[in-house]
Amino acid sequence: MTIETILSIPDIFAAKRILCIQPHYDDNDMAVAGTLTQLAQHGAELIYLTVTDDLMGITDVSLSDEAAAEALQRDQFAAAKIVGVKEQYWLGYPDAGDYDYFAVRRDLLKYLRLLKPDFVFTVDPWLTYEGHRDHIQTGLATAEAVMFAGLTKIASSDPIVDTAYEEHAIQGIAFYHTREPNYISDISSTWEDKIDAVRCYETQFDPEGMNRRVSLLDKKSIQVAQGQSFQRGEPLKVLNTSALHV
Amino acid sequence: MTIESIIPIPNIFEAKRILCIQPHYDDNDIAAAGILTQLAKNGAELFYLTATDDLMGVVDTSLSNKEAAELLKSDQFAAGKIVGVKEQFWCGYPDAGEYNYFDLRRDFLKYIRMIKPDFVFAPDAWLTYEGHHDHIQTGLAAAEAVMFAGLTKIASSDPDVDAAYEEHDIQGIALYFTREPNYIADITSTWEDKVDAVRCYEAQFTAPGMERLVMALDMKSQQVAQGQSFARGEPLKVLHTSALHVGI
Repeated sequence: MTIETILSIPDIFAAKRILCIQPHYDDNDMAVAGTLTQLAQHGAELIYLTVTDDLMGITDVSLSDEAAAEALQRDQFAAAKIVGVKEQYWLGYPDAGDYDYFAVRRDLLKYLRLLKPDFVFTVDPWLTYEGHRDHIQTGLATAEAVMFAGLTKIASSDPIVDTAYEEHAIQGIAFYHTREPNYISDISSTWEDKIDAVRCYETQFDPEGMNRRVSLLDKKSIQVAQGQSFQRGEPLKVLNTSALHV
Repeated sequence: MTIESIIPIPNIFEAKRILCIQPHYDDNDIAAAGILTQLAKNGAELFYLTATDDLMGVVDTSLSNKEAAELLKSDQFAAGKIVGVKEQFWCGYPDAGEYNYFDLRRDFLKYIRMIKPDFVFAPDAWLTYEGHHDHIQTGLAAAEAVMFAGLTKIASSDPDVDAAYEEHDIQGIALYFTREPNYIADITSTWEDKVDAVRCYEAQFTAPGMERLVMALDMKSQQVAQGQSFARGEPLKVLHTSALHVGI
């Protein structure tokens, strides 16, 4: 038996400004490009924030870090055009590295206070059997930053942003890469866009690896739509900001 | 609703070289000696790697650390003979201590790249209500090291090992001490071997303490076999290496 929150699930389609916080450059799109494309078409502004520099998984190891970083950003901008992302930001923490949780949280507070989203998307850090520490740290720091955005006694990494901040409401948070969804998004109409976006991420997948990835996404999207009235889905855990505590 | 992986569960009986990473000197055997004994009989080579020095729970507190460490190892070798362990390695982090997660991960990367196992056993780091930090750290670092073994840009603690490493496949990971098993191993045929191996761990159990442990294992092995066609089981979460990421 698992007890659910008594707060109702906020409607992601009511969101006007969505900040999508991802550990690596392709996580938002691998997980939820289908839903995000629909939200952008529906009029929401999408803003992406990438926590790590993502330099560990580059397939062409002859590239310098600088050249690799440029290739990664090129992939991101190509995918963003398809999904409809308005702006992108990067924190540049070392991929799979030993960075400080509180430094990440301070940076996330800065961007939340600066960008004032009414909805946040990120990875589910409570995903059991997720082995990648970057995912766990990003999800936890995001959840805490969303809770603490209005408490300016908790400083961000930019005092000027904290001083200028005027309180705003974050309606909710949508966790992707989740095993415990409370909302399955129907992505049948944007499945092709999603795959087009995913295929932009060439720097970290050789063609064979990319085909395997697409085939896994294909199977997963059908698995999560089982029992629904549609063909393909993306699983989300959507929570009211107040449901992130006790 | 909990969504399962779409990637099929790999077969542990196809493993040829198994690295079993444990927080303390007796965890592999207390959790999985029944199945590990069967895997050794089936021809797999078993390697044990112990993360901590395990010095906190030694019953005879008059022993020096050096004497205690020797005693712990002689227990391990006695149990290793019964189970069929080929080789043992130790990282030596302080038991219940404040060591660095990334140091642990670097050491695990070293042993994985050196031993080149095709299967890894470790404690389930996502076991809810597990209070022992050593178990959580060991399970998380083992999972991440399995994922990153092929990415030599992520350095291990030994540059020579990294330079010599040639990529190999890890078929999967079997997580023991789990509340969410997807595989119950039938250990009816090796139950006696398991109890014999567990009884070797004398340095950390008083005689009555050992009886209580064996009784608890007895009850647990029958509980997890309920609804199965056999009498005694060990619960495992067996995952393909790729299933350790993004819930795919």
